[in-house]
Amino acid sequence: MDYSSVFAISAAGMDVQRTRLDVAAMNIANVNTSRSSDGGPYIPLTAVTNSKKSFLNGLQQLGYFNVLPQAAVVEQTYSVPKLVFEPSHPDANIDGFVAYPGVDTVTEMMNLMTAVRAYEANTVALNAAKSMALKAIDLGRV
Amino acid sequence: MVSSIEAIAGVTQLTEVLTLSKQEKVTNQFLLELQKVNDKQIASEHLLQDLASGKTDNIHHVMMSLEDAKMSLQMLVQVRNKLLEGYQEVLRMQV
Repeated sequence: MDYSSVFAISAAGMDVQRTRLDVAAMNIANVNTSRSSDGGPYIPLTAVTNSKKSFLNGLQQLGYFNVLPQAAVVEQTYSVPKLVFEPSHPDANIDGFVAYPGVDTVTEMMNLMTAVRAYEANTVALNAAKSMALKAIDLGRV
Repeated sequence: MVSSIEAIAGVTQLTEVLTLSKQEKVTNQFLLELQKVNDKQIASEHLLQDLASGKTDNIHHVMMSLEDAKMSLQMLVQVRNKLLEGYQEVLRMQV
């Protein structure tokens, strides 16, 4: 009985969801950052999930690879800064507009909630695997 | 918890003598598993210390390691129960 492969699979899923949560939290936190360290407004981030083959036991015994998700954090390629008319702001341009990052708070809240739900789903899968293993151990108990 | 783990180490040393004198293979195998379970306990203990001291913030990895250690120990206890059961069965045998 190999439950450690399920552990690793769920752990990978939970890692991904944690990264997504971090990204959403950072975007929300930087909603008013008009000047980042590189100059210009903060560029919103996004978490891109790809998969990698893994050589765990479990499924591999059936001739399949375990495909574990992996999150990478990249800057959003197309995000339009929001221009707000604030002539007194030190970061205002020559016309008096300040460029705020194009963070959509509603979308970020959605990402936050889906990340939390998906994390929960991973814990449920993990607990299912765990209780299966515990039931198997119970076989030996008279 | 650490002291209990050290107690297990004492047991392995004690039984090391038995394996050296060509005891049954079962004992050997059991000791191997015992060592593995002990390693898991120690590893999870270290992870827990890292979490407490702030070296890592990966709660789910720590919890998973703890669960893994716990389940391995339960499995080991069951195996030990079975072995003892077999031994007692032999003891009860009429000569």
